[in-house]
Amino acid sequence: MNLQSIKILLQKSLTALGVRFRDLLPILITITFFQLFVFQQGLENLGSLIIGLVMVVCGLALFISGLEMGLFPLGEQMARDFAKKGSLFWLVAFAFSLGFGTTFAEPALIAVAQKASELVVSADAEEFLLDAEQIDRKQKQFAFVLRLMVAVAVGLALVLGVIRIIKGWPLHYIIIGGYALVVSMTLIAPKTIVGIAYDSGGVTTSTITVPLTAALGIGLASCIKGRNSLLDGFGLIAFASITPIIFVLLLGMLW
Amino acid sequence: MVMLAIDTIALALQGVGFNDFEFGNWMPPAWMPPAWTGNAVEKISIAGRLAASILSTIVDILPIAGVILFFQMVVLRRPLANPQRLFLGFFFVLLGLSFFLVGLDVALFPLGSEMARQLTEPEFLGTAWDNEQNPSADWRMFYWTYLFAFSIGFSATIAEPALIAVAMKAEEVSGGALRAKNLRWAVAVGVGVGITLGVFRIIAGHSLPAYIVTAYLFVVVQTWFAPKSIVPLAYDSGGVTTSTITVPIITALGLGLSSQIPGRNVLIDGFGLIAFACLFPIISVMGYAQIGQWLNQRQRKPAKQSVSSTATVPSTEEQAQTSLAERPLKEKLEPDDPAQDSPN
Repeated sequence: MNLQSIKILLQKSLTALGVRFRDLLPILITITFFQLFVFQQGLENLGSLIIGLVMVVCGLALFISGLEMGLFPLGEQMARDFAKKGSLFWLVAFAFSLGFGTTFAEPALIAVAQKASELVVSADAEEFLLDAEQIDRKQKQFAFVLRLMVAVAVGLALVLGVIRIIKGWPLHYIIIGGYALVVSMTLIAPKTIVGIAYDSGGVTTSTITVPLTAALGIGLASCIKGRNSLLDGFGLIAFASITPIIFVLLLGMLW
Repeated sequence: MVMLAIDTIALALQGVGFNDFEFGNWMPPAWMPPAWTGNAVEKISIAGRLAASILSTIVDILPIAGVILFFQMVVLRRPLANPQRLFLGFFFVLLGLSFFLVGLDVALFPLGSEMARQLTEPEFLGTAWDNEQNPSADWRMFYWTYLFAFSIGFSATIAEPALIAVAMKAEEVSGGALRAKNLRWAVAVGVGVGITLGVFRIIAGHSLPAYIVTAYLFVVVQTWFAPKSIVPLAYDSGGVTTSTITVPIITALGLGLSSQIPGRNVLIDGFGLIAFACLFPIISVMGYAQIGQWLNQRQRKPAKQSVSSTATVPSTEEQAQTSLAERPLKEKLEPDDPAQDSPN
């Protein structure tokens, strides 16, 4: 590596940092404005604020360049390889395991499931006069079932999304149907589960899963003749945020 | 194998001084413990938190890496192009995300959540509105809360990494017709408006299902009229918004409001905000495309009258619908190399 290439690299990273700093500017302005003018308090921990901001900007720049180097090409290449292989079974198996695997181990989901189990089981405990051991066992059971349901839901969402891309079904009919289902189930389901259900929809789409599934969908749509990347490549994330709501609402009604 | 890895990491975590595996950056978005809003977070050094965050991100990546490796080696059995680069990319993603999360934790979350809490205090509002004579809050007193809700929803969405990723892809796939920046602005406006409306709902005490069902119906009707090419992207952007930055702060806002105002249910109202933040970007992204389409058509009409034969004007209505700006969409009949179509 000579001096010239180091210079270019430095310039590139400085530009990337500048762009990411601009992304952060609105939030900085918001916080500073409210702190100084609305609450009329000084910025107390200025040191940690600056350290934190530098970390956020560097982290964001690193993350984005990592996406371009790693996650995006990987997702697209795998989509192309699966298309070349031409086996629907393996593609569906891959989609399911990707959705299931990333969701079941998702720490945010584990935490939500635990909290949800406390809520649901404590309501049961009052009704049936359970002792502490039974409550504990029921909570663990519920948390596990909830995580399983959400993970299966996301796996199925990716399977459905991949099949949709291959068949070229229009997305909006399926999504609108899904929404109709969510709305009607919300009206029937017990009130305690509704909040949990909506939250599990938000939890499943993590920062690493989103770019990977987006690249997968777009890669797949670009490989198949007659599919438009914009029209058919997107939509996997939308599926992955609706199916968990439906499954958790179902769980709430059956439990 | 994975269990063993997780155990090792848990042990390592304890070594750095983290007995509680929940303590870190993958806090449950909606069920925040007081540690987020109090001072407990401050007591742990940044370096320690960074180490914990890197470990937790590794736990996050492990299943993904496992699934990919299995299918790559057992099913596909094709060599990956440029494996070193891919590996480096994964490493950057891991490191970048950890820095990002810890940075947020150090700088923005404590301040943002504290503000959300302060905004709902009776002392700040200047009146004690939760007394006997005035059981329900007057929604007009909360102008600072609305402004905060909008600007925090907007600005957090602009910095959301998952949205940056999706917007980058959208720009690439549309051949530059959809600008990543504009898309992110559209989503951010949607989140801002959604959260503001959600806050208003909590304060006014209206029913959550009524709002959500109305918004869903609006989405359904709008889908009918929006340009076809934007619809999948709009639906996707609803799911993308609720990840790293937005959720903790708006949850603090929702919890603060619903715990301060008498007669509000903390659990139900805290969630309402997330549902709003998911729904309104769908509306705003479709709206953005509709406005673009409308402006395009208006621009084209006088041009058609003066210059009779222009080759660039799309003739069929289908084409006019899909072209969001000047450039037409990428043709779909090139199966080989999607990377070549990227603008840079």
